[in-house]
Amino acid sequence: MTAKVIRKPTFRKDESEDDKELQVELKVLVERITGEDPKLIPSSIEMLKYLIRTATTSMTSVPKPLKYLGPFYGHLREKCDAMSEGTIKKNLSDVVSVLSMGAIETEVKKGYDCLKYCLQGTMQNIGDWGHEYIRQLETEIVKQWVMCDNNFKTLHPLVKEIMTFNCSHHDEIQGCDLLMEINQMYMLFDYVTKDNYKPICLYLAACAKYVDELESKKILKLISQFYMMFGEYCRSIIVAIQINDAKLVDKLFNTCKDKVILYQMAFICARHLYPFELSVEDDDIKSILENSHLSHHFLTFARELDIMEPKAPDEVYKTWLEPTNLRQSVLGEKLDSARQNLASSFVNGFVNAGFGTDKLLTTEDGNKWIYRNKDIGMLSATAALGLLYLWDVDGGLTPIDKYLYTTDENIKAGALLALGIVNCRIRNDCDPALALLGDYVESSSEELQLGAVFGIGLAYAGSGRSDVLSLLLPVIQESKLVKTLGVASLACGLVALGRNNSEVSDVVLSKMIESNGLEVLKSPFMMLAGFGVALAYFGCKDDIEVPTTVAEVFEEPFKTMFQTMLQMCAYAGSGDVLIIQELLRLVEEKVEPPEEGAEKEEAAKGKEKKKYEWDYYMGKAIAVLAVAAISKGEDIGTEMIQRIFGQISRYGEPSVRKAVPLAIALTSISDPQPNVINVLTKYSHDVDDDVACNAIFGLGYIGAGTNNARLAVTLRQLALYHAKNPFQLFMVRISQGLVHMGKGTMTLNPLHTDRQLVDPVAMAGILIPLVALLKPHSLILGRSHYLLYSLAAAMQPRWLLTLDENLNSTSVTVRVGQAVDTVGKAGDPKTIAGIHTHTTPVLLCANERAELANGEYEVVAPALDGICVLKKIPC
Amino acid sequence: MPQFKVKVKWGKESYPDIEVNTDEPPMLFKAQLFALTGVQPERQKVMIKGVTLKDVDWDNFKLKDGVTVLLMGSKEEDVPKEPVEKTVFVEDMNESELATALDLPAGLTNLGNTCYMNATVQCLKSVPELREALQTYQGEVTDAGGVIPAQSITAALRDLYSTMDKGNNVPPIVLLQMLHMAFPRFAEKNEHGGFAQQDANECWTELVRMLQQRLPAKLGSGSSQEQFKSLIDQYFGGTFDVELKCTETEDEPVTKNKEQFLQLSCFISQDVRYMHSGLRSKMQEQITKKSSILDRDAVYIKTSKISRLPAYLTIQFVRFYYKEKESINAKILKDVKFPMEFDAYDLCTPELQEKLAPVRAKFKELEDAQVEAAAKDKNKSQGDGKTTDVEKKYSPYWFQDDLGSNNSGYYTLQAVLTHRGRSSSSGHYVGWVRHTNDRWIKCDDDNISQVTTDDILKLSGGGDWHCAYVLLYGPRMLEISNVDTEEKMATD
Repeated sequence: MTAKVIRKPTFRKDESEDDKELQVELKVLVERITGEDPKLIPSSIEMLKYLIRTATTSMTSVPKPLKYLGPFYGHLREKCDAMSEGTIKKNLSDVVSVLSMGAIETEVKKGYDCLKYCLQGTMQNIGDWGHEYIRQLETEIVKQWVMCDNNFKTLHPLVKEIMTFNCSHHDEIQGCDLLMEINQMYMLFDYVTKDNYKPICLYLAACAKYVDELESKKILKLISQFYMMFGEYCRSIIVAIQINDAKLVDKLFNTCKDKVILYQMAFICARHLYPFELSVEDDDIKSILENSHLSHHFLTFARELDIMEPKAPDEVYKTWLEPTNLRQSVLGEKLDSARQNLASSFVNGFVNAGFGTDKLLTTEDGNKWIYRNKDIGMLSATAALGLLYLWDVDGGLTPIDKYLYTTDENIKAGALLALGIVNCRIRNDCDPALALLGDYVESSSEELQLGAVFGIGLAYAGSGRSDVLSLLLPVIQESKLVKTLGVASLACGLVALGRNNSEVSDVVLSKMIESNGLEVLKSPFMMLAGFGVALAYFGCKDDIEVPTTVAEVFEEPFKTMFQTMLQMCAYAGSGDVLIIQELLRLVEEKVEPPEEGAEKEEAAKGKEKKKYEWDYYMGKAIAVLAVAAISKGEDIGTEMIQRIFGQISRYGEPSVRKAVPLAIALTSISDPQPNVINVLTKYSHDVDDDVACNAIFGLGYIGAGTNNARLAVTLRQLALYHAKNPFQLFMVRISQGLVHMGKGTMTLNPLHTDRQLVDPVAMAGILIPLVALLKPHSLILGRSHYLLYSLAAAMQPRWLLTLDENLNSTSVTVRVGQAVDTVGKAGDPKTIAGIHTHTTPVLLCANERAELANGEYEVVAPALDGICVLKKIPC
Repeated sequence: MPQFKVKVKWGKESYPDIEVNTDEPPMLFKAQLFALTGVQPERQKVMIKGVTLKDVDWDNFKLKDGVTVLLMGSKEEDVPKEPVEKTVFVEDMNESELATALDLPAGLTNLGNTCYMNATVQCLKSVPELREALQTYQGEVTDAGGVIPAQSITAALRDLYSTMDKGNNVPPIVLLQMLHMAFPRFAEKNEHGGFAQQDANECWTELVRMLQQRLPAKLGSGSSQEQFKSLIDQYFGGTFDVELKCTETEDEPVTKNKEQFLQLSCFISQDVRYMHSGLRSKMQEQITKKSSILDRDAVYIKTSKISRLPAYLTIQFVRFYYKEKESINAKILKDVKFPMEFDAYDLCTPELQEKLAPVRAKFKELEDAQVEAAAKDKNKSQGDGKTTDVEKKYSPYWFQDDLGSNNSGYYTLQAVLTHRGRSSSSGHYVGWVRHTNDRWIKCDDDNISQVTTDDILKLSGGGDWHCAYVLLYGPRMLEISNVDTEEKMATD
């Protein structure tokens, strides 16, 4: 009876004879299936299946049988529904399921017919129906998954079937998508093989950036495990470090048996300053993890490049190129500009950092130079010794030691800070920094305490050691001066970096709450104290809820300021788009400073000028910095926000504008792109002195350690332009020093190991001066210039050093070029462009990558940068 | 068991297997280390696992066999000491202290287009003899009704110089008033009611003229002195021997006479590129005057030769000429180079040239010696630099019998008065004064800054930059050669 309804196929004129034949045949089959004769039905179904499967198709058109069967879909479905359970029904279900793809009626889509009938069907060889069918099934599975509860049991076998199909057809990516959608990632374990783990891992890693926190952690963990399964320990450890999974890292060290790979993993951890104690016994690996090799390797590297000759600040400024009225040649032994000498002290430290020699301090009359600085300036001048002997714990402590015997508190404090700086990023069994500085932490002298506390903070940055913290926390509790509180809090923040250590935040916050509502809360050091707490939550992402709630008790604008700082640290380097948007909204929002308070304050100001004023836009200024800090490490986001910054600086309030050059500098640290140089040069002539000052500093940041000639010229011109303004000139000098940091062999970039990891200690090190520069005149340009030494935490050689299996440095030929995703001919892909050939050790610029030029060695690290251990390929 | 074997690390060196007995006081261990390293026990810091060893007991020091102990301490005894002489910081000083410290002269406030006077005053201040004479001058500034402009101006200048020596910027009010009183044309006002810009050279000559009237000549030691009425004549005044020869007849005898001058003029014509040629062009010129013999106008050649060179030679560039059409003093911007060391030898009369010869020979000798010393010095190591503080000694620059003259013909530039602008009654005048060898001071009203010799040589004109208008050359000093000074020159 149903047969009557079936219309005769209408032939269109342009259809070929074959098509007509097919149509007739199909019609006959459908009629048979829907017909009454049960004998004919199974064979007809088989026939129909055969026709559909064998139909070839092009990309653009629907397979012919499907197309012609479209009109019969309804009938077939009805028939199928009406059938009693059995093989025939199952077979027919398969056909209906396939045909549902071609159906036009919307209810078919709504009813998930494809999936429904597929499940009713045989569930065998579903791949035979082709990719398109699988796609359709996947879509419907994803949609269904969320709706039903007991779907796991019913759908799981089908998912498995689909995955098998995907993996055997080079379609793992599609499979990953499906599993990600239905949150069954662990299933991937059954499907990764030696051949396909690479693309799967790459794809998942790329996806992880765009999903929420929990999900991405899960994905990354999976990737790490996959890499481990296939012996890619180095890649695995990179991912494990990304998700901060201590157990996994430890497991990797214990499972890996290959010495060279173990060394390489240790070098990656050491570069990242991976803080957790690892249960490794090997002395070599231990010493790598302690970073004790750094000084030795750096000096070898310097000798190789023939740059051991110390450089005086004047050689950095190239004073002979400056017109003479700037040079002030009259200033001799007895008459000095304290500010310029202070700048020279810093420059001297930065430029000769790690080399152990210079032309001011380590010379015979080095002491004289220290005395050519003024009070607290002597602290910074002495502390520059720390930079000179940076990383050299063995050789650097003794020359600093003698300064501990002076009577001058500032010099002594500087020596303490220097001892701390020497130990920065290095771990030593004997803990000299703790042993030496520990005694001074409780000192009654303000300077000595300051030097010791900040020194300890730098020496144990990122270590999270509780014994160090228990030494510092009492200082905070007993602090009488807001300055001590600020610096001690920073030190605690550095030590407990990212440990989510509630003790630190409790102690600092309770101290801060004590001063809530008082004048002292307005002090810039209170901002630093808050930043110290924020550092303790570095990279903790959503864990900042507790301190954020606590922050509610603070009065505005401190509340916003503090909460934004927490966000900045918690998400720094994560590239989290949602947080960036939230912060940008904060920047856009209008802040109304309360009116009535203003007048009163005006009156008070007349009496006492030293009192600090609230800056109601400070929260927004920090938000600007935060945007830059968070987007760091995610290229697209970084590029986008650079444009937004232009907008902010055009329409922002003065204090927000101050933050803009700093934020721009942060996005491109140690990477002097011409366009960034141009933007910052423009700001460096700004009418607002603070903006100009920060832009000049920003120029130093973006060129840090690059010896960039263009920046050097720009800065020389700025020195001329700002010759009359001592503060600006000071900044120009500092920036010149930064650009020539380590004579051009260093970087401040926290991204390392092929830009995959963000070094939290380095990030903290570069953020501290930036936050301090939001109030330049009360901190860096005032009496707290020593905060600049926090950069020591971020300083690293920008080298490619190759070691052989016995950890001796070897020279190999490498090709160095711009890092790109892939270029080159098909089949011969390359990841670098614009190749130069060098012999290691070589300097690498930001965004540069290297590869081995000849096949003599094999590299175990995923990317050639930093220190790489090479394996000789047996010929 | 209190006996341990430890490894001691000191700097880059390490000493394995040091035996320690914790029953003995720690001092003993330190003494042991002293023997090894030479670091005084009281300067030793012995560390292990983040603690330092106390001098009294081993309580906190947890030793184990085979642990590494870190020793810190330096052998040297030197403790950084504060230098005896404290560094003075620019930031701590106020403006005037800074000026004294930098040894910059005081500036003069501009009282409304008075830069012409300021520049002149600054340039004249560079003549020590003039300053000396002014100091001894007794006259007083006369009051409003003052009839004696010369006295008032001299006194005002004296007072101004003495206030300037105190180091602060000074408004030269009194001098300006006196100047206006004496020369009402300087008090001319412009359309805005302020004082109008004046020609600095005019001011210069008038000032010098006033001083000429009041400052008596200095008495030299020589007996057979030429007598000068005034210090100005003595130190600034020169004499020309002028020959006037008629070209049209041989009959007329050459007339010879003497002319006094206080300034040499450098005329700027098309082909004058150097100051020297500008000066020469004026020394020989053709003039037309009535010949008494021919009883008609005849062409004469006038040849001037200098028969006396003053110690201080003022040279004026005749840059301004009166443009009748616009009735202004227009300026010639042409680039005329002037030397730092000027030799007036070929402008002199043969007699004078002869007189100059001996001192010139000495100069030559000294130069040769210096060249030789410099060559020698390249081989030898540098002198220990202690001799640098020895005061240089100079031989007198004047002839024995003529105080205030120049006995070599060599001059050194010591002050420049420049003008910037297009006419003498507009633009800006600046004085540039030599401070020491290579350092010059630019006195732009109250804005005093340092410049170098190169900057001075750039003042030769040729553009809209400051161009030299009046130059003041002082005598080149001849060093009395002795070993010390020679070495000094060499180390320089």
